[in-house]
Amino acid sequence: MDDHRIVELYWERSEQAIKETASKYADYCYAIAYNILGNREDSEESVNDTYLDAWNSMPPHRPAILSTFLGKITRRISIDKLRARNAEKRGGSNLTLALEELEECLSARDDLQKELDAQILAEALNSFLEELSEIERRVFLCRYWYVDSLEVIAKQFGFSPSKVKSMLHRTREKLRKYLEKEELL
Amino acid sequence: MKSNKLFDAIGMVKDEYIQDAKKPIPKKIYRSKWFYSGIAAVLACAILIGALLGKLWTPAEEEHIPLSDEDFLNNYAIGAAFYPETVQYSNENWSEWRESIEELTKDYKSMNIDLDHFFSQSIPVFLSGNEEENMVYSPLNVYMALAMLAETTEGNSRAQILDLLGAPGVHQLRQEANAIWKANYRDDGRTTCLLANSLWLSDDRLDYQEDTVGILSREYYASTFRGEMGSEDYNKALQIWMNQQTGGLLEDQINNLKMTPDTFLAIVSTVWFEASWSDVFNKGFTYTGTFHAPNGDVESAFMSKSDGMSYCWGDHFGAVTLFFKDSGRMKIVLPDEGTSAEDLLADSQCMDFVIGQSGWENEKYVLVNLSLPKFDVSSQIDLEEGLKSLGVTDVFDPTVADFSSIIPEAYMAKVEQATHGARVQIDEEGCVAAAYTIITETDGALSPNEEIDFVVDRPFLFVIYSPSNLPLFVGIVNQPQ
Repeated sequence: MDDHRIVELYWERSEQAIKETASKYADYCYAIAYNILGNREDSEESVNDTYLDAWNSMPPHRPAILSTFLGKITRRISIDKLRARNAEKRGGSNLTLALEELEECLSARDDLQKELDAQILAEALNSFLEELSEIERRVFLCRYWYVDSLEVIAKQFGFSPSKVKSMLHRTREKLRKYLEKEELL
Repeated sequence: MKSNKLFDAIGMVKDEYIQDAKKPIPKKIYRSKWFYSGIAAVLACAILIGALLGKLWTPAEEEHIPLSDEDFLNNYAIGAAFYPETVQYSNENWSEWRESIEELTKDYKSMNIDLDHFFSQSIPVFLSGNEEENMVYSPLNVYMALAMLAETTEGNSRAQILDLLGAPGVHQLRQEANAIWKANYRDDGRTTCLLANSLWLSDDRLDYQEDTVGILSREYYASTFRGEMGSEDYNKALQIWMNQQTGGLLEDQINNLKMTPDTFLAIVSTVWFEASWSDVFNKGFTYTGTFHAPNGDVESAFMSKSDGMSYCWGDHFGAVTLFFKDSGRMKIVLPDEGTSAEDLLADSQCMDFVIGQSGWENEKYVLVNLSLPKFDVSSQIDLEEGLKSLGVTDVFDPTVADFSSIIPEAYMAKVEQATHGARVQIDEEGCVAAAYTIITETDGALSPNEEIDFVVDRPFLFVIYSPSNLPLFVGIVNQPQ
């Protein structure tokens, strides 16, 4: 079933919408959840919660790209779940590593201002991503949106893991400078 | 924490970037096992209508009656309404829940009930004439009370009510009211929409028509009470019941209502609606701004969000729609500059928009930068003059009023007072507010190429629609708080 029809099913409040979503996007959402949580049971729960969240969100939303709409929900739920269980154990999951890497983009002494609005930051990130090459952008998002491991990204793009690592390092450095320039640090 | 913020922001980047980075891999089926609940909107309404052989409702002198317990109320209960079974919402029994909703709404869906006449006539009548005060009116609540009143009347008294409600006969009215009641009944742990009815009979009389009492109990889900009219305890029982049915939100008004020794029957109908926004407002975006009230500028807390929304417009107004989780919605209708909210009540195009249940021609999906004041508004309306202007006159005139359907020999009976109280509160709060904020703001909805600033900083109209898409509350906000 095409995405447009699935969205229509949500708007019609038909439970078939959930079944069609699960049929089409369960693995997609599961991959996102698992990358963040590193745990099968929690990941399945995040995927299940994603369906319900989607049900709550449509209407009023009518997403143009259903996959990313669902992926964003899964990502958020999984992050919340991870934070809730206080999984800050070092070396625990891909997310923990990814967060450590992102610390480099932030100066050592300056905190992001507390009142800094995530939306403003996201807009800045969109502008930053626009300036990147397509490959840099995709690798960056595979790592920090999908939370893929370096090995998975390397396999996807046909690079060596060390090349992915150095590419990400350069991109993070660019991001740090960009955020400084935008006075967001 | 620092990287967490950056990580969250990365979660909000453009959809096309995310899509480009990876392709989806579909397959498995999972079943969810928990659900969200929350509160962002609490709404309540109550209406009182009494028919009597003397007086019915009179405001209390300065008497304070404390709330009591269920046992106290049970002392007067002679018949409890049996509400339909509903299934609590959860993902584990989601199909059963949907089936129970389908069962409740099937009659309404099959009957093609047309309430437009009543809504379009009554809304302007009951909301007009108070250019500086807030006004709230529940058309569905008044409809239900009038339908019950029609059951107690005969002859021209009944015919006038049927005309107003657009029903050809009391039998059809009964079927329609029953279908409407069921279609709008929700108590599933997710949405609360309760239309409760009750009859208050006098100990002094033994000649109530049992058939009519039975119909009101069965078809209108009315609970029945009996006690000493005018006694402090019976009034207390009435107030307890009403406060219970309205979540205590109308306590100030309700605790000033009393039956008198001359009352022979009180008909009470209430509505309690409670739901959370589908997309909660981020508290961090709420700011203090100026609301241009009719009697001068006031400071108000404005909730705000930027989101893709349906924007509708007419010759003299613009409007956006906010959805409640799972069922119901709210329209915010902002008069154009130079037009007042009162003016809109007389604008037939706007009334069509307010009561319309289907699409609207002048509608487009755009990015709306919405600023909406939090509000807590209430009003109390004496319905008598309004009902008379709508053609319901006989029940107020003891020389012609006919209540023989409930009391065979009622001399000089009339409706002494018909009072309608309502209160509506909205805010951005809810126990899931934070969890949903990010989704709201990162919504992958259409990329609207138009953008509209919808700043509700002057008196406006709002409409809250029930689960079956009927106008449950309509109001004018002149002072947000």
